[in-house]
Amino acid sequence: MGVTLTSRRTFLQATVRSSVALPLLTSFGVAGSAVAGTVTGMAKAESSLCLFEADAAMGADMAAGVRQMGLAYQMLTLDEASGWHAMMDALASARGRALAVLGRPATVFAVRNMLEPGWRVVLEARHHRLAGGEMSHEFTGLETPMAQLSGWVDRVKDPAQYAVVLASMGRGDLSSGAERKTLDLTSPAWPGGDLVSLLAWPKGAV
Amino acid sequence: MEAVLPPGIKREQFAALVADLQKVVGREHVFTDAQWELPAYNDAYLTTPAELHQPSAAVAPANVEELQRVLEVARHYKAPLWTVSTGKNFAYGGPAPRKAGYIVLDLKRMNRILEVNEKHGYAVVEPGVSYLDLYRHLQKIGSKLWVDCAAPGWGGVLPNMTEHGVGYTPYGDHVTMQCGMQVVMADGTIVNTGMGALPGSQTSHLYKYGFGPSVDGLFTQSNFGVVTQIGIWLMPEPPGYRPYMITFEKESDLHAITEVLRPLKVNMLVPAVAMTVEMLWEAAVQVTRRDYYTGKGPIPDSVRKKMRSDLKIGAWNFYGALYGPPPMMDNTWEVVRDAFASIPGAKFYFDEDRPADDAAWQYRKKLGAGIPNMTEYSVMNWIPNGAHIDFSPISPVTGDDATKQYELIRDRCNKAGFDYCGEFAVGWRDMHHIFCLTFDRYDAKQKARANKLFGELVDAAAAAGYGEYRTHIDFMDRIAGTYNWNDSALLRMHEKVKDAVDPSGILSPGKMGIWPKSMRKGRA
Ligand SMILES: Cc1cc2nc3c(=O)[nH]c(=O)nc-3n(C[C@H](O)[C@H](O)[C@H](O)COP(=O)(O)OP(=O)(O)OC[C@H]3O[C@@H](n4cnc5c(N)ncnc54)[C@H](O)[C@@H]3O)c2cc1C
Repeated sequence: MGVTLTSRRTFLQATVRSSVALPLLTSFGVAGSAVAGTVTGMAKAESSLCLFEADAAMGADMAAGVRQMGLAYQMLTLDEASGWHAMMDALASARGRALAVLGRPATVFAVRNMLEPGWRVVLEARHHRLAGGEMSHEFTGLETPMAQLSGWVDRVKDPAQYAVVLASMGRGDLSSGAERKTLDLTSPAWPGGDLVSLLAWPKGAV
Repeated sequence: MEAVLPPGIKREQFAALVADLQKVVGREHVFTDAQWELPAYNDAYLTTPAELHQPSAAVAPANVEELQRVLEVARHYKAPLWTVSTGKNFAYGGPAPRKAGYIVLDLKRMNRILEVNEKHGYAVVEPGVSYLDLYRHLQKIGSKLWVDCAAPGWGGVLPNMTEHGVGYTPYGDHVTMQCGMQVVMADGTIVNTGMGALPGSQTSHLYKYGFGPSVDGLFTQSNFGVVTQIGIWLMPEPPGYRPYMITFEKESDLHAITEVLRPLKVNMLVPAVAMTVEMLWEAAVQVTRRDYYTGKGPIPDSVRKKMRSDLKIGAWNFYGALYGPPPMMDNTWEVVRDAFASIPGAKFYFDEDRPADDAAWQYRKKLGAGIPNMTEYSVMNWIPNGAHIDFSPISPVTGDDATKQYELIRDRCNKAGFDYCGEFAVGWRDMHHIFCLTFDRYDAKQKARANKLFGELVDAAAAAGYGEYRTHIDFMDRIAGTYNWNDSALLRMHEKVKDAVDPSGILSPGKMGIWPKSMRKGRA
């Protein structure tokens, strides 16, 4: 995948400066001063835990990028016991943080089944290529994070960019009565196959 | 999803019941929130509406004492519980209860590894210990014992055994390898089976049968008690391990493969559970259907040919392994190779002959050495929103039976617009045929077709003399109904036992078609 760290940073800086992304990030608890500061500082304030599929097609350098933003990052794989144990350790130590997960459908299914009922999956998205080549993004979840995502999804060009923004969405507070909604969006085609992503908050946040 | 109540229990009673459960296990271990908590107990692979299996609550005791008190509460309110341990029984119902309103009895927190006995080769585990947990523990303590795991490493050592599950080393028949059991009965009594009934027993996990009737089997695939501990024999790491794969070119080779295999299995030259895997299963764990074919209906032969050549697989793919000192492995291999070489077109592979990125080979190689992983879940990626329910009839190990079963399923499956994706697992004398009926879990029409097809397969298999070894919660009654020899004498006996050991009918009503008296329809 041809996404470099520089382009990801540029992308995030651009989304942060844009009027759509500012409320997105501030609404999830990022202080105004952090938004005005560096990407690294801002991401640290969020302190999400990211679980991304260890898949060459999604870019190992994506991991490096997320790590440089100061976010805890864990590669996901269904293939290795050691990878699974590392994920479980990461989850055990992640209490109180938001969790951003991106991977192939089976992988995210497995993660989700290890999360609930302890975590609240506030948003899940299915990303798949349409016959015409465009990317379809089908969101299910709470309106607030979904509405905030909707402003920039059409500008995301690949899973790595999506991962960076998903990772920058920290935990929020919502009332327990919050209703689940669905939203379908499209974007230019992403490289690689179908993906699923989710955003989870620890119990207590919702 | 809307909140539901346990059958026969009113809202106020339910509130009191929940409060009583909270007193036993703590508020944080009783789950009642239909939006945020209870979806964890749904089956994502259902072909029927989720409402039919929506629990009213879940309760997670931490130990036997809490479990006894949970049972007391359930008895008091006559509330049905649905026991799960690690709760990953996907393809057969996941953690979802047989009927809406049940309270899931989630034993995940009871996850202690109580003993690893290196000298005698066994472990004693509680219900919530997964294969991945046990493997990690054995690694940590430097044990030279192997785990024998089901393909999904997150499954539980105990519940997989109670479901008659299988793994892929010579210890793959899990019920055979279980020795010693602790069960909590519906009335709260704790029973140690077998030698464990002797106070201070030195052999609880060494000799299976004890004194008098051997009852362990009564608590497998059943709703007669809650199993809280088992001993499981573990295989010592052998001096050598050499997995192999043999590919076969033609669909019709299944007959010859099975005929060649039978004497090799019976004479223990193929010591592990032997797998004959159809090509789409191999493909599904590493590519997507859309990579090769975007049309509707079963994949055409020309496309299948291309897949075989790209992935270096056969129409059928046999997986076995050699275990032991190298000279023994060399000798055994000569016999195995010569036997299968009689089938024209057979190609033989060891580890060094397979592509490094061959995901199918890599995970089967691990399973043969008891190294847990989750790769097989990748079959979900085969089609968009992939899910599957597994149809699992047992057959004799003969070429005629394998072919008959294969054709019986393939033809009906293709007619219904699905691909055949399956494998044959040969144990001591039997063959488990696992047909992985894959469908789009967000496509209501496809789900309805899959459900209908499954029912037809049950009936067609039964008419041909084949019964299933386990099944999805939606088909338990239907399959129990096929085991109806002598006016359903076996089911009637099960029901008598049920009434005797669980008169309040609180434990997993309907499991394997066994209903308590109060919920039984159509039988005295
Ligand atoms: C891709 C895929 C591959 C699979 N491969 C295999 C395989 O190779 N081998 C295999 O065997 N299966 C396989 N399965 C089926 C299934 O996933 C496993 O058998 C799994 O181990 C079952 O889930 P679990 O261990 O979490 O059991 P649970 O979900 O905890 O329990 C399963 C059932 O056992 C009973 N039970 C559970 N705990 C108790 C208890 N303490 N006392 C009494 N009864 C209890 C209950 O009826 C429960 O519904 C596969 C499934 C999928 C989706």
